[in-house]
Amino acid sequence: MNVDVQRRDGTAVVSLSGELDLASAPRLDEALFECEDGAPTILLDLRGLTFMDSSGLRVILAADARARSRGGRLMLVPGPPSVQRVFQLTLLDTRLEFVDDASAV
Amino acid sequence: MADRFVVLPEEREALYRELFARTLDAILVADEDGAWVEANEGALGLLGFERDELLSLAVTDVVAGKPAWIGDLLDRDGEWRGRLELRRKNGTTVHAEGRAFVLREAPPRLFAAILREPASQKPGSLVEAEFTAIVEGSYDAIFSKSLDGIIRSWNPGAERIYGYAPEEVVGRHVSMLAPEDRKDEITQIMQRLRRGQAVRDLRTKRLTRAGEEVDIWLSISPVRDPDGRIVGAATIARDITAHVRIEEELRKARDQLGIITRASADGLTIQDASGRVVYANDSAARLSGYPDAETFLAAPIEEILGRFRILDGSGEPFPPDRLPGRRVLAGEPSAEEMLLVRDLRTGEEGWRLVRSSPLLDENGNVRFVVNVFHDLTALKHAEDQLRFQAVLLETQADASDEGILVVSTRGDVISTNGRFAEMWGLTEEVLETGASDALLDAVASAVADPEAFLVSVHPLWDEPHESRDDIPLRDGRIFERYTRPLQDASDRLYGRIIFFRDVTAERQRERRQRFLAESSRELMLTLDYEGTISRVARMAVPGLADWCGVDVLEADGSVRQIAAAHVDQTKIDWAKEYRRRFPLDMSAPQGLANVIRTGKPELYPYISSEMAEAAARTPEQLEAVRVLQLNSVMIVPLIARGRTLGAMTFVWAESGRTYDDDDLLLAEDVAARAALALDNARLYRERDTVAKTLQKSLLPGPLPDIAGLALSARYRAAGEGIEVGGDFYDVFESAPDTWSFVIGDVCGKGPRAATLMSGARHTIRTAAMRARRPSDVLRTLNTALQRHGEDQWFCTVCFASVRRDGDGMRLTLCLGGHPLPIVIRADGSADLVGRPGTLLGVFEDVDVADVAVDLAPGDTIVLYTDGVTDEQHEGVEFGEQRLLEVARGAAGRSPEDIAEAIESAVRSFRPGDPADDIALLIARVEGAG
Repeated sequence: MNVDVQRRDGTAVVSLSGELDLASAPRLDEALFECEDGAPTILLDLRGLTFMDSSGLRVILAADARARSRGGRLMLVPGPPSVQRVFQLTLLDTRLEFVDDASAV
Repeated sequence: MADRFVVLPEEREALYRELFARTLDAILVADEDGAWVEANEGALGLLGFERDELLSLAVTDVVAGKPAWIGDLLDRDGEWRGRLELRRKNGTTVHAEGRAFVLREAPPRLFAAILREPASQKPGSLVEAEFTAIVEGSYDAIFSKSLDGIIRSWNPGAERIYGYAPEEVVGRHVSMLAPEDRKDEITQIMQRLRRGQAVRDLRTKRLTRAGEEVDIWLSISPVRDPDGRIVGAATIARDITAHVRIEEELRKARDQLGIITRASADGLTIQDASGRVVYANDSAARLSGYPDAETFLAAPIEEILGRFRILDGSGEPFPPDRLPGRRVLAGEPSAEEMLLVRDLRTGEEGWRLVRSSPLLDENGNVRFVVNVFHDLTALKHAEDQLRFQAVLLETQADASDEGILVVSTRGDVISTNGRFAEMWGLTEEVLETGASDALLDAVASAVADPEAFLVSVHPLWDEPHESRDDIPLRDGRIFERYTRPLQDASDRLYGRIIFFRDVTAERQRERRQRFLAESSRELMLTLDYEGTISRVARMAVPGLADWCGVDVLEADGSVRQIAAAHVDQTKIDWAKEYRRRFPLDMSAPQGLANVIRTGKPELYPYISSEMAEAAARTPEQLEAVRVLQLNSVMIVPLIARGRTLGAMTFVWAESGRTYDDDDLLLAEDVAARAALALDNARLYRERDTVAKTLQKSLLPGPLPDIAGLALSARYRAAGEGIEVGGDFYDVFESAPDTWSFVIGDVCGKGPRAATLMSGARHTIRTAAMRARRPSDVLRTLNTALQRHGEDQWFCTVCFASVRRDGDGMRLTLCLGGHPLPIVIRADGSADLVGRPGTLLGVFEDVDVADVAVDLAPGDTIVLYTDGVTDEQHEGVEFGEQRLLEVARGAAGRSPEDIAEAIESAVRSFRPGDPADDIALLIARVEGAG
């Protein structure tokens, strides 16, 4: 999985590509942690993901919880159907803040 | 023959008297005591004395280099001939030759001398023609007159100055040229001239032909004939009217300036048109480093200029041709500059406001330049002070917790704030002296490396850059030093402000975080646990400890040190030797053994020698303990899943630093991670035995027999390198004739997941006994997981309550974040059933719904975990659709066959061990069909 981070005006855009699984989840966790330092808003772009399992969910949930507790936002750009299916099955599509695309910010 | 010419004695007397009076020879009479008793006009003229003056003198006052009185000159015949050197009244000497003789033999004896100047001494050596040319061509007035004052000659210069043509004045008395009130002056001059005395540099006034008074400079000399007799006088006169006027102006200007000068202490100099300094007051001299004006004016200009370097406001050399005095000389109406003057001998600098203005002559040409030097040093200094004050006020408001120091570009301490003194522990005395050296010494003595600190101080004074660095102190504190230059509006550097901030806690936190991050990464990445623990111990040194050791509790109850770290390897060896010589007393009431025994950490902020003595069992051990130089110690237990595996020991020794409660929290955190890694590694190492045993213990035994239902369950652990997984399933009777089917997945892997899984299974079993609906069970589980307190440790569960319903079965299905089960109908169709629900353990409220699914005989329900659908190969995941297809293909077959079909489909989709655990629970309603 590749993690690309770009910062603009208090927003960090984290774009993922490849597979988000048990092996790559810690890297996302680390990247999100780092972004939180300077950016109240994080936009996590999942469009490039080909796969995501519960390990990825856990990292995203943790980041969401941290964002809420410090008054920031974690927004997600939906991934492909197979990835979105994971959010649907866990009903996280209603709990997390999904935006249509990156330009929404 | 002589009778006809006999001169009578009385006639002779008159003749002698006249001769005595008129002769140009000097005739002098002295008595035997060496005093003059008589002198004629010729003698008075030669020597320049009045008669009375001369007669009061001794012979030796006049005759130089000869015996005391004339009598001594005489030979046996009472006569002398020769030459004498005589001293005149004006101090000059004249040579005279002649004779001396005894005038009266009877006592008191008298002596007479008759002397005259030798002809060679008289003027007239100049060729007359040349002399005439000079006189005629002179710009000055040159004229001659007889001893009675009659004008004899008159040159063109005289005609120009006095306005008379020669024929108008020659033959007339010179007093015609003097104004009425100066006629006496002419008489006096003539008397002097008759005595052979010259008149030099006389400033007076004379009348022109037009009746105007002009300022005249005169020089008049007696004129002698070839025999040395005074026959007249020559006058050189110069019109100095213009000079006198300018001098008058200058004098007035001086007087006025003098008043200003005295009042303001400003320096004042006046340069003439050539640039030469002709006047300076004492202030100007003092500003230039001279004690008074006289010394200053006497000093060569090169010496004065050589003492100074003149700079402009930004410190660049000032171009000499732009100096105000030079510019005014060059024609500017006035000029003014602010100059920085650096005294090259003392290094002192001073600010001067220099104003120059001209004094013009009647033609508008610059005759003089007046320069006023205003010493602005004090003013500039005050200005800088004000600026410094402003800077301080500005910064103090928003940075009061920072120590602030303001220094000049020469390192003088201008100001400090209270916090500065507080931080550096400076005494009132040091601050009150205001001495920069004392303050620097005091500060340097507090830092860990005074030498490096002092080296870093000097460049700060006059460099125009910002700087930021950390300064470690001897007492363990760390100050961040931020400095920035102070510049005025024209970018002139006038000082530097230095902020000190105590960043000890901040840096410690950073160090801790770094350590935590690094150690966590190490612990996560490897299963070589002893190697890992050693690396973690090494990471703690020297940022968090001088020593770090890890001890583990072995199965036989002994304690083994598996890691020890210190910057110095010999110390590590020594520590190992210590442990060998002094085995741990497991019953000790404190220390390592106690921590391992109780699982409680111990913090000793400061180890006193009494404590060391109390801990040592023998003098040898005490000696060894002393070698270790223990200063502050933390011992934290390594606890994983409630079991103490060992302990980590952190020691500050020779660094003299100490631990506090924050350090203890960090140590416990690290120890918890290390313990987990240790435990994981142990689990991994014993994978084939412990892990499998654990797995089996967590999974149900043989499935129960349920009338009318055929069951099959499968669990396949994930591949190599992954510890115990988090999938689980369960089938149990929750009420009479009501069966609960559970399949779930605890997020994550490893012992933590396994623990949760075990807990979840237990909770579900308990809840299912009491709950009326599956959704109640999941809500209970959610609450239990939440109470568990672990953030984002979630769990997905599919719970189905199954009861017989006619010849079929009714399922009440509830999903908590779990994949939807598949129902395979008897007709070969297969669909997903149920409604997605919120995953469990994360949110306080969950959205879970009970969905009824009726199964007819021949219908089959397949519960599975996401290990099935998530299985992927080359970027493509197995997915629900593929699973549905497999299900359809296996329709009508036994649960065992269906399980086999699904597992083999997943396995063939991706060869090798599965990436995730796979669990399947399949039930088929038996009966007709």
